Amino acid sequence: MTQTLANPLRSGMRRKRAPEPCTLVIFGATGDLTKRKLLPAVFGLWQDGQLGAGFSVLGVGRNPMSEEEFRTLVRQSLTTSKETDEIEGNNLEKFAAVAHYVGGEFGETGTYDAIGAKLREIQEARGAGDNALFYLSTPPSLFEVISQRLGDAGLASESDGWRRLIVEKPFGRDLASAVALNDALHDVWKEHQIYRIDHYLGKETVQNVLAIRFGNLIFEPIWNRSYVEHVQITAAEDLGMEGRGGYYEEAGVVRDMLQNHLMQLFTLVAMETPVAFDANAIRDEKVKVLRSTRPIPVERVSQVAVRGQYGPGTLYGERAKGYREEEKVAPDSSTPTFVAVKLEVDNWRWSGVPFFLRSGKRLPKKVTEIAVVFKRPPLGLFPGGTERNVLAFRIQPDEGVSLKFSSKTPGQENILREVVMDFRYDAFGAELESPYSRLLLDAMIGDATLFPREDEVQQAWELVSGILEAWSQPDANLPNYAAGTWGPDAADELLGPDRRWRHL
Amino acid sequence: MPGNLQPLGPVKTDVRGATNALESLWDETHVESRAYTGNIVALTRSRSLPRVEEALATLGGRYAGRQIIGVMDGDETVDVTVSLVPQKGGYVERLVLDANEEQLQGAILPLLRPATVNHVWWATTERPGGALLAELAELADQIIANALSLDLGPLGPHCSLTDLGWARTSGWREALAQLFDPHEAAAALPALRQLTLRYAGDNDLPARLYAGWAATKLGWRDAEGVVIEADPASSRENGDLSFVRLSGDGAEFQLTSDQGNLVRSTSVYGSVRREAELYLPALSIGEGLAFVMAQPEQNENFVSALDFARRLP
Repeated sequence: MTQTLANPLRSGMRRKRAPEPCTLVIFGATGDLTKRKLLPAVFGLWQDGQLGAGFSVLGVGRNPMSEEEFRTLVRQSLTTSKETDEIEGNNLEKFAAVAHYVGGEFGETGTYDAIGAKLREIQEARGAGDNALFYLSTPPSLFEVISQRLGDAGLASESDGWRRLIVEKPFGRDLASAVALNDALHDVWKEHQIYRIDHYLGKETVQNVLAIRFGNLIFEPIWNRSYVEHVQITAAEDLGMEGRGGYYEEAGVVRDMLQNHLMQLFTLVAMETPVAFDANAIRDEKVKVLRSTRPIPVERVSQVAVRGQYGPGTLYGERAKGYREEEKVAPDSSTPTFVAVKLEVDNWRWSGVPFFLRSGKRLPKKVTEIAVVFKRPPLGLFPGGTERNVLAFRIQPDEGVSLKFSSKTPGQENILREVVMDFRYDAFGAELESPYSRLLLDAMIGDATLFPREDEVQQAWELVSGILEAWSQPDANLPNYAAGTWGPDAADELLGPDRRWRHL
Repeated sequence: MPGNLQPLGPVKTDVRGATNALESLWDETHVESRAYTGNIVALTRSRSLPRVEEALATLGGRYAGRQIIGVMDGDETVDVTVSLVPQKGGYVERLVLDANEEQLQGAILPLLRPATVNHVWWATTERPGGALLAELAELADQIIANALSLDLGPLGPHCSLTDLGWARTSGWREALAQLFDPHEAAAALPALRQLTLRYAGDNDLPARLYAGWAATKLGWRDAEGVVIEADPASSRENGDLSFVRLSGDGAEFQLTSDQGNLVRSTSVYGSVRREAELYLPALSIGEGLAFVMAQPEQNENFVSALDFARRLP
């Protein structure tokens, strides 16, 4: 973690996570992500005093726009986004005053000269130092050219201050393109300067998986093949395409959810105890999990993965279109909107314990959960058999943790019944912060713990490569689940006998 | 969880019936999960009770799920009322006990929710001390009181001491630290020998703690360069800082309270002259409690600041 150790007034201070003065440079400054997520997240940090007086925002976009017009856009974004904290006093104006803008084509060197000049101007005026965080909130096709031009203009150089680059997902569209993108970025940036963002890792409850595992003694001794029967990870979405059919036709559920979000959750559950709670120690362990996971070549795909696509159905009392009827979707599309996959980790801890991951569009509700399902007791002393204990992490909504176990019901007979001990995050009485604010602050501080590393991204692509290849072929069985249901029947069969998906 | 929860209670009861009375109120809420995050015991007088209740009403349940207010004006009879106070995300339990100090001791102890963190807040302007506070200190993880005038023996190894005056300076400490985040500004620190502080009203305690913090962080052995003055013109709340200046050998770093909650910072060193505005709202008592209760363990910064403040003239 980069820290201003030369400043003794910071030592022992409660707010240790204060970044050095810096400028956040957002490419794609007029885009949807910037307006709905990034600006509210940055404003929240700024209003909370976490960014200091030397902080500035520099928007970069193709549109020619005056600084005042950009500030108007900033004000409008903050007042219309649902993610903006309550605006105190005159803070909207004060924040707008630290926002600057440079317009120009992303491929033209003049744009980068203007960015360099503006950064120097900000440095002079606000004492921002030479520290800059470049956020690529643009289509992926522009990542390489922006990176290259930043390098050409000398803006990646850390000779006087730090320079970092945040890259939005998708990071490549397959293993080859991810490797190529990594190579292109490394032509300019060192790995410690690159922050590949996966906003799932900024969620409090995702981080709580590590806190619960490694902050308590009672879970870790049973976190292995001796006690765990299997693990289920579900990321269900109730939405359909919402106008994003064009993007989804290219991506599909494997690129959109499995390769990144689900793999991240999987590695956090399966990883070994890191030697320290720092970026490389944690990412080392995550990579080891991916390396230990049994490969899925094309010929194994039908045994361990199920693809689905939703047809017409009903949801929330309304008719829902099928995927092929969605806007910008081919009428004979075989793009998967549902995936269920069985992963097997061939290491001492997890040998023989399957991890079942599923994700889909137009499922009955929006819910993300990790469930660790434990084995049954070896002997059934009580009538009616015994059930499995389940430790479940609810990532969203109703963030929290629950433990299911059996208890005697009142009465003369020894009848057991499953009960749930539940902890809800809202019992803390605090709003959960936007994952973007956590991740932006981490990047400014220089803490890459919650950002996937190069080898992690590539290993994840490698694992899903066979699935992508197998599913590039049309499937005459699609669509195979109705909108508003929990996916195709084959996903249930994937679990094998005596297991079922959690009722969520 | 609904955001428009209504308070439930208060219900009059007695010490033995208090837990059941609370359970009856919980039954009305249909809330299935509760967070047993800690107890806060506030010791006060009846004249300060409204202020204490108001402060605790804004204290989130993440800090203490049970609030016990001991009003030390009563007699041998312990009057008990219980209620559920709505907070962001749910309810916290509140018990108000009115009796003499000796009766309060026997009433509060059984009502502490077990196996969790205990915060004890001396919520009156009187000098903190007495048998009741001493007894509670044995069970406390944290004592919140005017630390400069605390009249207690040494606290146990598991109990830390803190002060709301310390919490009130937190924004000003952060603001001053920020001025030295640029490396070239930090390089000017060894040359600074004078610290001038001004405070609103007549409560100089926060300013003394602030001086202690800055001086110890800068490695000053004595208080020779420290000046603390009242600022009768300041419109900030009694005890709030209104002005901070660190200066020496051609460098000067200054924070000046402006209108409302704005603070203007000025940094002058070498050829640099830089000004900025910071939003620095005064902490309410509830926010101050939240600040100190968030990390009840011993805070080395506070301990060393307090030690220095005690040596100030």
